[in-house]
Amino acid sequence: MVLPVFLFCLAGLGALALAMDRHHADALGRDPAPRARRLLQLGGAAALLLALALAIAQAGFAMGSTDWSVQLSLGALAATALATWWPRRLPTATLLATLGALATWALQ
Amino acid sequence: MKEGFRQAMSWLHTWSGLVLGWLLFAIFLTGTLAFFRAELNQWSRPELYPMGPASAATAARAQEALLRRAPGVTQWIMHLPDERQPAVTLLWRTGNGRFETLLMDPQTGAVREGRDTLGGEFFYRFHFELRSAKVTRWATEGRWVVGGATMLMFVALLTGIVTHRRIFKDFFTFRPRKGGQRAWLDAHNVTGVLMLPFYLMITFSGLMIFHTLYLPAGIAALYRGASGVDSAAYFAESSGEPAERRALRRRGGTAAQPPLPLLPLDPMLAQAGAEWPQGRIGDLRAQRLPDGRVQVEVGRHDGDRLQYRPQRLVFDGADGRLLHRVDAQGPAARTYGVLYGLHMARFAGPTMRWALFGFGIAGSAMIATGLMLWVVKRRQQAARQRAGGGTGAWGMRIVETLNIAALAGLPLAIAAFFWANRLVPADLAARADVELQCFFSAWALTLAVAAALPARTGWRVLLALGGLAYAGLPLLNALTTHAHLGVTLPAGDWALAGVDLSFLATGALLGLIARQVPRAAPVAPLRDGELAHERPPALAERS
Repeated sequence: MVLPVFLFCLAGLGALALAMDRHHADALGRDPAPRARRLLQLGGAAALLLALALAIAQAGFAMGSTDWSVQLSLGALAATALATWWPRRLPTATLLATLGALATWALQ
Repeated sequence: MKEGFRQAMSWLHTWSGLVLGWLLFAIFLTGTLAFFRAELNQWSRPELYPMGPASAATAARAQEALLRRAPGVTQWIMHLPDERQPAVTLLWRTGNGRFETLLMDPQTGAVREGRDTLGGEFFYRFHFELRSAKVTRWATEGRWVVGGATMLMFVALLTGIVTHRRIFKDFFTFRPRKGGQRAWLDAHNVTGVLMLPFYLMITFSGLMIFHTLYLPAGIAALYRGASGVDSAAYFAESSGEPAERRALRRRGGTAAQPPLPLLPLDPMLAQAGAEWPQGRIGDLRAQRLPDGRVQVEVGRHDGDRLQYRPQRLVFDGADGRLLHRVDAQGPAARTYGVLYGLHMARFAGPTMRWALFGFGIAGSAMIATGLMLWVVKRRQQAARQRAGGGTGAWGMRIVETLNIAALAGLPLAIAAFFWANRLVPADLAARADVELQCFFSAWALTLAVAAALPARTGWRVLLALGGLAYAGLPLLNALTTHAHLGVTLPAGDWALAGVDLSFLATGALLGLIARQVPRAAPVAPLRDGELAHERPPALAERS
C-alpha cells in the first residue's frame, strides 16, 4: 500500500519545512526556538527514513527505493503547495499526515 | 577563470540550458507523453475498440490463427495482451523475408485492422531519435542529436544544483505573487529541485541507453574477431545468452528454413507459470536453430521487475522440454538493465505512471520557466540600462520567438497530430506520414505566427488555440468514432476515457495559462538604483 509511505514523506517534509525560519514564521507568526527546530529536523528526518524502510519492506530494495523517491517528490510538492497557499495550515497538515501514516501503517 | 566557481557554473547553466533548451523541451515533453504510449496507441486506433478479453487459451488460439493465415511462417514473435495493450501483437516472417505485423483479437483469433498511424509510438520515437516519418534513414543521426542534447541537459542539471545558492533554504519556497523575475525564478527552482532525483535518473539513464552508440571503443577493442568487430556477440553476451545460442544472432544464420509446425505451447506456458509464480508471461518466440531444431522462448512480462530485458525460458519445440533459463545477471548487465528499466518505467502501475507523467510535465515546466527566465532577466537588464536596441534586441527577439514556438507551439502541434489522426481518411495511402506532416506543418506555422506577431499576442493566440484544440478533441472523437467518452466512461475503459479526459484537462490548463498572459506592456523604466524585483508587481515588467 502506497499510503503510509506517502504520508510519512509528507509528514517528514512538513516538519522539515516548519523547522525553517521562513515557513515557521508564516505558519505560527514567530521564528522557531532552537529546541523546536532540532526536534522538527530530527523528527522530519526520522519520518523520511521510516518511509524508506517501509517502502523497502513492502517491495524489496529496488522497487522500494524507487517508490520512496517518487513519494518523496510528491510529498515535497504537497508540502510546498501548503507552505505557499495555506501556510497557517501547515502544522495541522503535518500532524494529520503523521497520524494518518501511523494509522494506515498499523492497519496494513 | 577570474570569476568564482559558482559564477562559472552559472554561466554554463545559462548557456547549456539556452542553446538547446527548445529541443530539450520537445524531447522532454514527447518523452513524457511516451509514458502513456500504449494508451495513446489505443486512442489512435479506435477501430480496434473493443477488443475481446484475454484468457489462458489466447496463445494457442493466436498460433493457430497465424498458421492459417501464413502457413509458410518460419519465425514468429507473439506479444500477449495486458491491461495496457488489449490485442495480441504478432510479428512473423516467411522464408528470409521482412517481418510483418498484425494485431489479433485475443478471444476470437480474428485479425483486427486499425488505421495506419504511429499513434503513441510517434512521441516515443521522436523523443529519442527525432523520428519524422514512419520509415526513416536518419535514426542514428537523430539519436546522436538527442544524445548531445541529453548531455547538455545533464550539464544544465548539475550546474543548476551548484548555482542554486539557497537550495535548502528555498526548498519549499514559491512566491507567485511577487511577479516578474522572482516568480519565474521560484517556479524554475521549485520545479527543478523537488523532482531532482527523477530528472537526474531520467537524464542519466537516457544517456546510458545508447551508450554503445556513443562509446563503441570498448566493444571494438574486446570483441575484435578475424572479420572485424563482432558486436552481435557482445549484445548476445550482455543479455545473458548461453554460448550455443549466439549462433542464432549471426546474420545469414537462417538459410532457407522449412516452415514451423504447430507447436505445443500450453505445457510450456504451464511450466513458465510454475517458474514465475507471481509473474506474468510477456511474449513467446518461435524459431529454428541453424541445425533445424525448433526452439520456443517464453519471456516474462517486462513490467514484473525493475531490470529491463526480463527473464526468458527456452524450450525445445518438439517435446516442450525446458532447455535454458536466460537472464543477464552480471554486475554490468544488471546495472544497465536497471537504468534502462527505470527510464522505460514498464514496472509502473497506474498510480506510479501518473506520478512519473506528472514529474515529466514538471520537468518540461522546469525547462520552460528557465527559457522564460532568460528573457525576463535580459528584458529587465535592458530596461535598467535604458538600452534602445542594438545587438541585444534582436537576440532577445529570437529567443522570445523560439520560446513561443516551442513552449506554446509544440503543444498546439501535438493537438494537430491528434486532430489529423481523426480527420485524415482511414484508407489514404501513407496516412501515417500525412499525420506527421500535419504535426510538423502546424509546428512550423506556430513559428511563423510567433515571428510575425508581438510577443504577448503570440503567446495569447497560440495558447488559446491550443486550449481550444485540446478541448475539442473529445468532441471530435465523439463525432468521428464510436470510442468516445459516452461509450468508454460507462464501460469503465479507463485507457481510452483517460486520454479523452486528459485532453479536456489540457485544454482547460492551456486556456488558464492563456488568461494569465498580461494584456499591455507596462513600461515605466526603472529609475537609477531601483532594482526590478523591489517593485510591486503591477509596475514591474512581467512576461
